[in-house]
Amino acid sequence: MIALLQPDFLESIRAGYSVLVSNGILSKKRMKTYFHSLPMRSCAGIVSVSCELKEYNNASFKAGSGALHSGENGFRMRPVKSKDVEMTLNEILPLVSSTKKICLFGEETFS
Amino acid sequence: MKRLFPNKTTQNYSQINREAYFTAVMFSPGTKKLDAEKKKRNFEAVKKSVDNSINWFRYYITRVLGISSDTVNGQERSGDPMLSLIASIRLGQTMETYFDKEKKGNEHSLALAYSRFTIMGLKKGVEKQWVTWIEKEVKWIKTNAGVPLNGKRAGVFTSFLNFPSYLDHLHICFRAGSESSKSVPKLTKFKTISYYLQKMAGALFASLDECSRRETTDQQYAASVMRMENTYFFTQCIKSRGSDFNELFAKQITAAHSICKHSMDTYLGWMIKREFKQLHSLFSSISSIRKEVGDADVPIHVPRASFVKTLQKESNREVMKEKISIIYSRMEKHLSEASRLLPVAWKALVKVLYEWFGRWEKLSTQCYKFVLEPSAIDMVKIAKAAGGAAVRKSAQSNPKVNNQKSDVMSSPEKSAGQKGTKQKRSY
Repeated sequence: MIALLQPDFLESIRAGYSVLVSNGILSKKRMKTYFHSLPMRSCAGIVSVSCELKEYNNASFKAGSGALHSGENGFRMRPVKSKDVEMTLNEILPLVSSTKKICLFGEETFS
Repeated sequence: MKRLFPNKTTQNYSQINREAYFTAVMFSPGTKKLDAEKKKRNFEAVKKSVDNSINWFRYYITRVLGISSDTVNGQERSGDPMLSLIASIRLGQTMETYFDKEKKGNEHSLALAYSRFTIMGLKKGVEKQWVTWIEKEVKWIKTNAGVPLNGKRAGVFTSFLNFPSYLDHLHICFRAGSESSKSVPKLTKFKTISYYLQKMAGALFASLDECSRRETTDQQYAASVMRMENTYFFTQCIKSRGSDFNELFAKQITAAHSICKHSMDTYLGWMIKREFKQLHSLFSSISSIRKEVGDADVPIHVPRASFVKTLQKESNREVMKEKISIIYSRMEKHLSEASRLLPVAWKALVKVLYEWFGRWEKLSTQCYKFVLEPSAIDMVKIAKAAGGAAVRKSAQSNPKVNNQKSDVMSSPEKSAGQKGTKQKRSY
């Protein structure tokens, strides 16, 4: 719209926004603050579902018997958070791809 | 269960994308009206920001896929091998969607190639993570933890006992990871995973072989018992875990079956020879002489009086009952509860007793016209009576398990029932 109505303004707007984006919105400090606010920034809240072979309970002949119950040593077989994996691959991965694409090819990628 | 990526966060992704679009329109290198210097400056600014944000995206991706390590409260936390194994499957499936199937070419192909490169990098990371875990566990298996040096009453090794639980866990995670898929793929489809799971199973057998062969292990019976129990346990556990694992460990099941069968033959042979030492010695001698001189001349070499005297002393009903009772007690002592092999081994022993006594009965009649008492059929009845009470007791406590049909269970009997078995040939 600006390009149509006031083409002369476009260059100064670009210059101003460039500074705003580079030093503000996408600055290293601000991005760090933003990403640090997301969950999983630290491993502290993450519970590993894995354990060593020696920590597993003795198996019985029948598959899955006791699989989801605490055994003698209190070990519980936790399933992996597959939804998170799926979400990451389905949503963040394309984002990485498209962001890189923007960087390489610019606005034409959206056309 | 607490979600690691709440929906609120994922809703922001579309906003980030919109922001990226706006930025691209304003500053992209494709903006035609800008001169070369400004284009270059803008491109560098975008690239710097994009690279920075991509690093952050990667940071979170590696967290979710279980391949990042961190220090929490001074303790180093490595990644999550099980999670990374499941992630490697999902990455492989995701990779398929990033091929330029429509062959659009140009930047589209390049962008897809970049995505594939990113996925490959992540796949390499997750595979390294769970393969390292497998290698570590293989090392632990090879320590032969908990196996006594003399091998007596070793039972089912801890590694053998825990391995099926790991498979159960893997199965739970694998199913959970495939919930959204139209059909759950077979584990055998994933070559790397199959290879390393088989490697783990192979390590179990290597450990068993090492323990059964080592100098300190009793070779009279403990080595055979060790092989029998562990291979039987392995076969039964894998078979009860469905076709996927059956297919995956087909080679190991075949090997386990063969080892179990051979070891059981050896063990039962040892047991009978030990308890019926005099009879075994007598009929072995008669069998050899008979081959050289024929039936009629056997009494010349082993006099009938001597033959009958030995039988009356060693082969009367009361002695037999006692001997069989001793065999059962010994077998009960040798075999662990965990392997649940006792009823199987006892059944096989009854069959072998029938064959051996049948053979001796025949030799006695042909060479001396003397009817062996108790007969082979009587021996079966005595043995069944001795083992019956215990088998019934076991069946009452574990009806499902004891009702399971087992190839390993039937095979030693089948082999013992065939003509020309090892026991028969030895006479």
